[in-house]
Formats: sequence, C-alpha cells, structure tokens
Amino acid sequence: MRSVSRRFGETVALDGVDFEARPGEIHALLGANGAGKTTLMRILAGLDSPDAGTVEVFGQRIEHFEPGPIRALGVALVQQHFTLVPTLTASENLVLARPEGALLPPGRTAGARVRRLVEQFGLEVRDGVPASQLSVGERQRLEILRALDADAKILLLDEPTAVLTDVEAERLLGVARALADQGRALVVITHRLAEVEACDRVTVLREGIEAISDGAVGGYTRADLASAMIGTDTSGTITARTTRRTEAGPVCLRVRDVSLGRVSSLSLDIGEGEIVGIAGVDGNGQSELEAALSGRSAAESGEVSISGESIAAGDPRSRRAQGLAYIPSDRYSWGLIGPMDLSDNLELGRVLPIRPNRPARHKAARPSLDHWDVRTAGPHAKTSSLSGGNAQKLVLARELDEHPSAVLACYPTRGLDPEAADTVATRLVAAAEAGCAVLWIGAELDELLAVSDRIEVLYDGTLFGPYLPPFDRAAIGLAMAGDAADRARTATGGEPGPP
Amino acid sequence: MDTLFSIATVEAGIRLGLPVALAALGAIINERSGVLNLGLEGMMLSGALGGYIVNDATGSPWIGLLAGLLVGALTGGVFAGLVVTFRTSQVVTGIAFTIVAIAATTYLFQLRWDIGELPPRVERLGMWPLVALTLVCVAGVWFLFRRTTLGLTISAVGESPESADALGYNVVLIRWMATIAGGALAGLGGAVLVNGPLGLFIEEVTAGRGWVALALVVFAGWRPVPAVAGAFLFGLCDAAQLRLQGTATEVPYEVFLALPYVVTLIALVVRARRSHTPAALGDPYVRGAS
Repeated sequence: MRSVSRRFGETVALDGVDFEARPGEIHALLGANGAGKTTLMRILAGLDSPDAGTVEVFGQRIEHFEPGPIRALGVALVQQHFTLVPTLTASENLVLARPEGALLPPGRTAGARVRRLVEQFGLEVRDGVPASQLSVGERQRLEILRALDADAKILLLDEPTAVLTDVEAERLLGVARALADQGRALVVITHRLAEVEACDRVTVLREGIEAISDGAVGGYTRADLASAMIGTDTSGTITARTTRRTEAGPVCLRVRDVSLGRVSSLSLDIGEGEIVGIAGVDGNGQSELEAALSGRSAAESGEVSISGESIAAGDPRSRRAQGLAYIPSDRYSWGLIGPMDLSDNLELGRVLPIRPNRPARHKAARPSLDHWDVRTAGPHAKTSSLSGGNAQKLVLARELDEHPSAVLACYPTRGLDPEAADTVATRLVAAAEAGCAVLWIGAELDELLAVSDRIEVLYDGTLFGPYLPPFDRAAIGLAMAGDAADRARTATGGEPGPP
Repeated sequence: MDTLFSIATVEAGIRLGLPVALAALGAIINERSGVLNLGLEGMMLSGALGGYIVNDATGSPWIGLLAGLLVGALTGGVFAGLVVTFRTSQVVTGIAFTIVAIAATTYLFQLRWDIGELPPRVERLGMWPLVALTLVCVAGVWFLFRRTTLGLTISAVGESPESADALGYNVVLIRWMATIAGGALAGLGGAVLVNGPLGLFIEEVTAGRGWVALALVVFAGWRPVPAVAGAFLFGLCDAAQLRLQGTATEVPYEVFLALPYVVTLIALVVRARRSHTPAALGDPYVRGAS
C-alpha cells in the first residue's frame, strides 16, 4: 500500500500511509484507538476505498475496491465484528464462503471439510451448532479457518486477541507463527506490546500517520513503541489546569469490587474536588465500567456509593437522585433525544407531571443555554440540529445545573472541535473545583494529563496506577499497552503474557 | 352438519388453500432474503387480474397461470426497485403497494367490464393439476433452501447481509432476485385462485389471503412445508365456513366468515413465539452503516 489516504468528513483517518506485508512474516500494526488501523485493513480487504494512494496485491494494482475480487487474490480479513452468519453451522458457513457448485454438499462431506481444516491447522471448532452458540474464541477460529479454506495468502487479523483469554491468545499467536512459516503474510492489528513482540515487523500508526514504519520488532524497546503509539508532543488541545490538588478531600464517589463483563473486581475512590482520569485503549472495560456506574446495567457484583450512601444497582433514577451526574460516551443514544427541542432535552429526567406551556418552557431554558454557551437558534431548535460541541454543552447544562456531588464523564470531548473540547474540559474542571468528584474516562492521554489530579490506567478490566502529577507519560503509555499487567503477572509467578 | 364433514369439504379446503400456499412460498423466499413483503396481497391481486384477463382472451387457464406468474414477477421487480435499491421503508412501501394494487386492479377491471355487467366465467382448471403444481413449488422451495448454494446465500443475506457482503456476494442483486421470485409465486397464487376454484374475477377477489399467507410464514418459522400445511388449515376453515353459512343455525354467518382468519391468528400466536425471524428482515442494507 502506497501513500494511502482516507477521510471521513472532517476527520482524516489515514494520511499518506505506506504499508507492506511480506510472505513468511507476521507484521504487527500497532496504534491506539482512532489511529486508523482498522480503516487501513478495511481498505486492503476491499470494504472501503482510499481517497488517494495505491494498493497492490502480489504486484497487481487494485482499481476497484470490492471485497469479492480482492478475496479471490488471496486476501482475507478477520474483523473484530465477526462476519459469520449466526444461524448457520461451521460447515454451512464454510460452504457459503466457498460453494462447491450449485448444490450443497451432503452433511457428511461438509463436516469432513471442517474436520480436515481443524486437523490441518490445529484450530478447534465444533460443527453442527449454529455459529451464534459458539464461544467467541471458537467463532474467531472458524473465521480464520474460513480464510484458510479459501487459501488466503495474506491474512489480516483485526485485534484478534481482544476477545480471547490469555491462553487462547497465546495459542492463536502460535498458530499465526505456524501460518507465517508456511509462507503466508500475516498482519496482526493490536494495541498490546506483548503481542508485538511475537511478531517480526511492526508499523505504528498514530492519528493516521506512521510513527514507526515497517521496522524490525527487535530494533525497538517497549518504551519506543509505547511512545510512538501515544506520541510525545504534550501540546494537547485542552488548556492544562494551573493548579492541581495535592490532597484529595473526603471520599465522595466510592467504587468497591465492581465486576461486569470484562471489568473484574474494580475498586476506586474519588475525593471531593478531585478529577480522576481513566486512561486506556478502548475495549479494555471502559464501556462496562460506564454501564455499571451510570446504572444502565446492573453490575454482576460490587457496590457504588456516593458520600457513603449506596446506589441501587442498575437504577439510573436513584443514581440521579443521589447526585451522580452522567455524561455518556454516546451523547445521541443515551444523552439527548434528537427530534425534541432544546428546552425539552434540558428538562429530561426532571419533567413535571403537568408542564408549563411551550413559551414558558422556552423562556425558562434560555438562561441555562446562555450560561452554558450552547450556540443555537434558540430553545425551540431541534436538538439534532446542534453541532457535536453544542450538543455536549447541552448535556453538561442539564447534568451539571443540578449541582451533582459526583460526575461520571465518559469521553466528554470525543468528536468535538478544539474550542468546544476546551470549553467542556474547563467546565468539568470548574465543577471539580466547586467540590464535585469527577471520574473522567478518556481516550486521549493528552487531555487526561491536562485535567487530572490522578490517572489510573484501565487495561483488560483492571486498573493500574495511580499515576500522580507530574505525570510520567512514558510510564502511562507502557501501562496502556499492557506492560504493567505483564509485569504484575510475572511478579506473582503467573503465566507471562503471550510470547 | 353431514355436509360439513365430507370429502367435498376437504376438497374445497384444498382448492381454497392452494393460492394461499403459493403466496406463502413466495413470501418465504422474499423474507428469507431480508425483504419484508407487505405488498404480498397486492401482488396476488395483480396476478389474479392478469391471469383472469389472459385466460378470458386466450381461453386457456394454463396461459392464464403463466400470465399471473409474469405479472407477479413484474410487481416484485417494482417492489424490489423501491425497497432494495431506493431503500424506502419496507413497511410503508408494502402497505402502500397493496392499497395501490387494490385500486389499480379495480380500475383496470372496470375499464374492461362496466359496473353491473356480468364478467364472463372463464375456463377453470381442475383441482389435481393445481395440487401437482403447488407440490412442485413446495418441493422446489424446500430444495432451494435445504440443498442449494443459492438458498444458503439467500438465507445468509437475510440473516447477516454484512457477512454476505464481506464474502463477496452481491446483497442487492440477491434481494432483487428473491423479491422477484416471491412476487412471481404470489402472482401465481392469485392466478390459481381465479383460474381454479373461482373461475371469475371480482374486486378484491383475494380477500386478505395475501395477509393470511404472511401470517402463515411467521407461523411456519419461514419453512416451506409447515407454511403449506398452515395454508391448507386455512383452506379447510374457509371451506367449513362456506358450508356452515348454508346451514340453519342461530349463529350469525359473519362469525363463520371470520373463522379462517381467527384460526390463523390463534395458530400464529401459539406457534410464532418459537420461530426465528431472519435477523435482517425489514432492514435495508448499506455497506459500512452498522
């Protein structure tokens, strides 16, 4: 792939990226969220087309980016979201991918095909049950078998270990090595350093640009890779706080042994007036943490309390009543109702049984909109007409106007322009300075460094930290890529990470 | 009541079940590909009128059936253009389609035969050729989904269009084909109704049989053999109610008229909870949208 670029609207996903995969090698594609890894792989698989640049597969230049012809050249992408048909069994899924003529083969023949592949590549998969009933690991192995069945020469694995247990992940990397030894080219997308070390070459993407281009894995230390992944420039878009707390106030928000999905037994205390930043790459338990704390899902176990008072699990209404404000990661799904006007959205969650008439509601909304700097045609405007920044300010207006004692802010600046992001951050800092405990789950390390009193790193459902100011950027970057977790495992005498 | 439990009732039931069975088979092909076809009633009606006019003109009920099939395929093509290519709402488009088809067939029919004029009875086919035809269709649809790659592909497109797309299948083309095939079978069903048991066309001759077929498809869990069994259950009830209307009872005849529909509804409620709906049913496919 030569100087491939792709934009989505305003966002530049890829900016002139060169990439090469060679037969017999495993090439790691490392990067944090939004670095463009997946976009690059989707282009290579023909599911997306580049705005500029060229792609060649075995010397043949790709003109039309369609999945069919590119598959025929021997490129197979195993996506994070599996593309098995959930109602079909393993053998049926294989037949669908590579039919043997117009008639389906009899059950026995199709079953033999699965068994032959399972034996040949050592990837175990049950046949005879719908794919939806297979474990995540099995589904992934089936996807890989399906690619191998089509004799894929170039195998692209998008975050293959994200959904696997450690043992499964280790086995998968072993299989990847065996496949490379057979002369296939493998590309493994990852954000884990331990996995990069199992590869031959590495490309690091950061914000659509190559930070490390096609280097031999042996030539880089973990620290090199981590800093390439998260960057070294500290000029974030957010104005850093001038003062930080040296001592937290009395504990306000207390999370005790909360488990939900990937998050296991997570504990965290946040004092009054403290901002705790949760750093980490997406998919390490952020969404489960958000769901459990906001009450959208009841945690499997554990307790969340605010000023010593326990919040009923899975009950957003009592969460609100007890003063935990929630700025959701997806403001359009969980924060706002697009077709309703601004004043209605401001009132959500505290609507009176009999409401004042519309002009009165609009009038009542105006001061709040002005105070929170929501730039709009007026309270009657539809919420869906707002820009991302103004929509987020509207959420802040509703959530923070009630003077909550704690705030759960999930990616509060995601998708905002720098000015709006700065405003949102300033407001949250102001809330903290007024005595509010703020839990800020963020994806951009720079903004967390700018605002937090304390940073914890969420990796694989567990917190690592605390990291205190002045922050050691490199140490946090290493923890985000799993280094701290690998060390902890080694120290306790457990299995080391994947080789 | 002697007439109720007779061979004649059963035969009438089979005759009345045939059009519903064919329409249900059409809907199965349609919906397994992920296209919800609420225009089924309209497609049946169009096929019925086409079959009637051609039979009247040529004197051959077989050519009439062929005409019904082609008219149905044509309506299926129009529907596919709207919902698959232009991605209009499948629910709204389907209902509108049926309403337009009712109005259009009435209009075309009245252009040819004035109100009050008695339209001619056309040559009718006997029961057994039609039974044979329907059985061939059932076997065909069963074979399609059980034993052919095409059938597997249609199901995959209806369950997980993004997977099928990623494997290089043309989702739009497959849905087009399935919708045309579904329309063709629905049109054939309509033509069987007028060229078989009835032998004439009247306004809204299908009388909701397309809707019954749609309900049967859910009842049958999108499988052809149970759908056809359900169609004959409906036909039997329909035949029974015709007999019951003729007997002197104190029950108002409207109750009997409602019987087949009520039985279908009950069967649907009892069975449908366990059936698996194609996951992408009713969703237009846009690459990369999900």
